[in-house]
Amino acid sequence: MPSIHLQNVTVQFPIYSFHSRSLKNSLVGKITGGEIGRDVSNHVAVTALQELTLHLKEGDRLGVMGPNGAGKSTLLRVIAGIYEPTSGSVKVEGRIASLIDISLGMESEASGFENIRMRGVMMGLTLRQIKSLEEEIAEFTELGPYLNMPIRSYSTGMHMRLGFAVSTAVPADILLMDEWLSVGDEAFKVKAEKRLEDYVKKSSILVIASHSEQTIKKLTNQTLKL
Amino acid sequence: MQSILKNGLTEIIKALENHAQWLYLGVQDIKLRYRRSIIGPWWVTISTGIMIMMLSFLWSKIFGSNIRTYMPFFAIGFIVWNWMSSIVTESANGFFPFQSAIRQIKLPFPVFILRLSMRLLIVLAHNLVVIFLVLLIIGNGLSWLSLLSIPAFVLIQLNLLCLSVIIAIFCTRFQDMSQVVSTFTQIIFFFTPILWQPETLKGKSYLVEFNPVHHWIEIIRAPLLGSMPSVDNWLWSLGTLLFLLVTSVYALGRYRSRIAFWL
Repeated sequence: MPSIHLQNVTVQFPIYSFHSRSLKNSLVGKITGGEIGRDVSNHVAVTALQELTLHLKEGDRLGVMGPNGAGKSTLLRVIAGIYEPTSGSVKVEGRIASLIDISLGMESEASGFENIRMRGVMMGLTLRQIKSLEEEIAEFTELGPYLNMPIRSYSTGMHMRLGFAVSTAVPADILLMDEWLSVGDEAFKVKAEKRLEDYVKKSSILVIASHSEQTIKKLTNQTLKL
Repeated sequence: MQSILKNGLTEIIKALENHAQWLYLGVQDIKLRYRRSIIGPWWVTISTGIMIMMLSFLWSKIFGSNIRTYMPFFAIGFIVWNWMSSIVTESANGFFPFQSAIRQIKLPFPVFILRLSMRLLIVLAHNLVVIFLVLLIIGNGLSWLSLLSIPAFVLIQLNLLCLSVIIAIFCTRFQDMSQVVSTFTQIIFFFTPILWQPETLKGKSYLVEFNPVHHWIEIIRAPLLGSMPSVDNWLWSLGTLLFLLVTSVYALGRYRSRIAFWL
């Protein structure tokens, strides 16, 4: 059963000042102690999340709202397991798909097909699994012969189409999104919208960070204000 | 302590299991790098070949040694060294080259190290041609004993994997360390018998006996030149592996969760 449990999660980012980032300074800090030591090892820490408790189970659709810097993306990354909390505990069960950056791992020199494979491998698929998805992805992008060309020859829109199609090809239990995605020209947009909606429906838990009241209202059944 | 080592070990095992993520992507890295060139990675072979021919000629004159014995010695040492040093200097970039992936999906960190090693292994494979040509044309050819360099090579590859995990973590935390690492790598090159043969040291053989890099190179080079690697070579290489393995597992277990914050 896919589920997300966060218990009193606090995440702090150490901001290494220019000085403390070097080994010399942290050694000098250790040796000299006293005044300089305090000065040098004075890490500033930004608290992105504080004492957050959250339980999500199958069927939950959570919308995360808050101003810039409220910790929305950090929360998504904590759920994805990228950031481990400074204190508190995280337990996530189920296969996670993150749509935070759909053009992850794209190589401009590689062809469209190669990019599908590379991206798929990065998302944890085997080459055989990718092979079975390839055709459907290729068809959806409508890029045709362009898929055999290096993607540096693509326009921005074509680029996005490819990334979008790959990202939404693999079903997942838990879906993490940073804003609703809208790609392509008018005709493609409608198609993409439909695909994304289906994709979200297939997942059992959705966590979406958004600034748009409308998106949140439409997609989610609960809201978290950070 | 125990749980740190356990965490580190699971991280490594997970990385090895995800073999598509470094095998396929490592090969892909090479393909893309040479995509627009006609002979592709064979440029590496050609440039190494020319370099070794010219330098062997020069250095054998300077040292007054026979080019037939010097050139095979230098070719193997130089190619193996280039492979080792590029692993070290590339891992000294830390995890920064992979930061967009790290911030996006959770992957075991050794995956990135393995991917980088895979790419450099392919470069080495292209350079092997030079070694074989030199051995067959200038040197004494190959014998059954040469096969011993395969297990030796595996041993050194493992050493280097562990070493690069440690270096990558260290250099991600302390960014200015990558300069220090590359300086040291250059110094080690001159302190290790690659250009010069260990016999020239005469009474000062301690200079090579306590240099682990010498043992790492010699254990691969000796069988290819037709002699057994010494017991010392094996003991040093196994000893360093044990040390580096424990250290890298500890470093992974201890700092794994911090790396994303350092980027």
